[in-house]
Amino acid sequence: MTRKVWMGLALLAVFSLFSLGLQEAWAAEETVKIGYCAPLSGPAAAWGLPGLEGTSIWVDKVNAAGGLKVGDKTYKIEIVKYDDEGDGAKALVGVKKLVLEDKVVAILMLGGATTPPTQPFLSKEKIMCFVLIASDIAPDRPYLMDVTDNFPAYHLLHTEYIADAHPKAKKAAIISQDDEIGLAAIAWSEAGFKAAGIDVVYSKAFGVSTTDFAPIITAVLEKKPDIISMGASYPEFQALICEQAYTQGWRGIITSACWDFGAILAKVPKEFMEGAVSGFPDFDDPKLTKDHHDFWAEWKKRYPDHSFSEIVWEYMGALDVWAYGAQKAGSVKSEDVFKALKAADTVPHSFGPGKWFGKETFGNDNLLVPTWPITEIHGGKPAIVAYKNLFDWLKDAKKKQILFDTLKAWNIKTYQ
Amino acid sequence: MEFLFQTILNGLMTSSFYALIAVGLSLVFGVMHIVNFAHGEFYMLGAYTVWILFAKLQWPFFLAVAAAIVLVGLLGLISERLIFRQAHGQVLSGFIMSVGLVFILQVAVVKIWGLGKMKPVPAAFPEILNLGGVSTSWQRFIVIPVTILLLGALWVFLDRFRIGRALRASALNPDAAALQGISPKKCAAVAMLLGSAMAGAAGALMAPIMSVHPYMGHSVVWTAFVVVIVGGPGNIKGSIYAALLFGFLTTVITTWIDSTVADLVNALVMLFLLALRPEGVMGHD
Repeated sequence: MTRKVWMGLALLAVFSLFSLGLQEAWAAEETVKIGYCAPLSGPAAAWGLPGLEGTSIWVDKVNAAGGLKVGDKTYKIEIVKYDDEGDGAKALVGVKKLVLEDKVVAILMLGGATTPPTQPFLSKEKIMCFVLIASDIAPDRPYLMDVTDNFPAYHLLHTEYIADAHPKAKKAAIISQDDEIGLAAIAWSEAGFKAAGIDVVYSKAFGVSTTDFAPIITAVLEKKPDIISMGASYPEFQALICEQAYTQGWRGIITSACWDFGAILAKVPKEFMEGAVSGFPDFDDPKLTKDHHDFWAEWKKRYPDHSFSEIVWEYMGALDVWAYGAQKAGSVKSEDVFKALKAADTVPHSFGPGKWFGKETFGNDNLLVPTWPITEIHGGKPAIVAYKNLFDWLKDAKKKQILFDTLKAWNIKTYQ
Repeated sequence: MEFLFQTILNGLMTSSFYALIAVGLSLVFGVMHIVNFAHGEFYMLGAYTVWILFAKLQWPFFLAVAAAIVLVGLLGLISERLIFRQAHGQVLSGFIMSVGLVFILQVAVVKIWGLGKMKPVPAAFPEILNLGGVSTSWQRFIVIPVTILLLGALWVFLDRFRIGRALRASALNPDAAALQGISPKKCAAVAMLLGSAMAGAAGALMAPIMSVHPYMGHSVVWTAFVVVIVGGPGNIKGSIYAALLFGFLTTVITTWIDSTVADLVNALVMLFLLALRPEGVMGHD
């Protein structure tokens, strides 16, 4: 052989070795992508935008530690975001882009109006979808799960707490917007109040295009309620509802699925919100764990001027559950992670061990239910005042029947 | 009784807001014969001005409102000169140009201040006003006297000032007005300045009461069109009557039934009145 051939073979060998080395390095640094398709603008932006703060903290922490070890591989994590503006058509474009182009293995979504148009595609592709709206769970949406937020089920616990803590409060009014999320909130809240022996004197949805709440609150106050539940009104609606209730002179107990406290306190004094009931503590609450406190410290360091809401951690909570499932399955493949999660008796939730629930109410046991904290606002800040468990609530057959009767009255399908 | 008074107070507030937003639109249509779809975006810019000057830079509220009136009025003047002048008197061309302006203004606002959460504007006057057993915030209540003041000033301008009378003449018969030496271009510029300034005033006053975001003009401009069509395009007095009608109709139906039904009834009333009087309740001024 000539010298040129030997030189060529030597170069080929070096190149092959180099390629193998690169491939090995790439294999060690394989990246798994998770989609984040949520409202980052529009009226529901407060239920999507803050979630990027929590997920970015989570991703940075995992990647800084070298990645997520799943089976023999270690994966870097990347979040691919898409702003669906809370709109179904835009969400469908978003999930198709995330699955087909970005090759995500799971998607984090708010749920509600964006679920019906996206689920046929996601179910066909067998892509796990983590939402914050448990009432989206349905038999024909097998890979849709709610592993953090217990909406709307926790309304039953909030109302039970109000009845226990405020026995003089006997009349409740419930309002929320006229969409999937709002109607589910109204139905479950109404069931909760009725089961707790509280009269529901006003229970109505308002149009999603409502900009002036003065006439709605005038109608509500005419019924002289002791409690106003805002159901799951969008954060911007909450601020306007609270402002009207305050300026029209009402004082009483306010409850809501959650708060965007920054927006509300721009409209009313914090004294007005004193004692308001919900289920989401700030993560510096002394009753929470060191992990929560560490997260709070990191979040405060990164976003010192932002107001905290449950959305900051809930999408991140879904990442925790996904990672638990992936490690248990030894695979990041969507179907494998799903099976591993469903096979577990209990799955770690941010508030403690959670169990699967939902067969009778939603048609699928895809809601992860832990023992849930109840919070009251004190001095402008939520504080944990009790813990309640949905499974305990459902042990009372009479209460359970009230729940199913009320859901039926609101034309919400159940699977009893 | 308190319930009734509270509803009347709510209705007055809503009517005042409708009048403020619709009168500017009616004025522009009357003089320029242009359906300005970007009127809602002028309203949005008024609200953004208050968010920046009052909520962020801590200017006194009324100074921020005055700045919004001036800035949005000037923007209207510029848009007349650069865009609408080419379409003067051509309803369809003007409409298409205004739709283009809607997108330009929305995208500009999104690019500069971003999307995301609504812009929080605190109440400048959060104190509660009690009126014979019913209550509201001073922040909402001031919309009523300020609207009366602004509409009164517009009335005086159109009735007592030479340029105001020229505007009315141009709206009534542009050709005859031109033969009298009234410049249609000058009238169009003044109409656009005043109409946009009114939209800016409405947005500025409502910023602490409603949600401030780049698309807040959508629902408002629809309401303004309903009021203007029923009142009679270009008829300011008619717009004020129509604002009162729809303000109270919306409030009463929302209170007794719900807001979705209120929207439906408003549209039905508009169709019914137009079927009876296609030129509007008061006709063209």
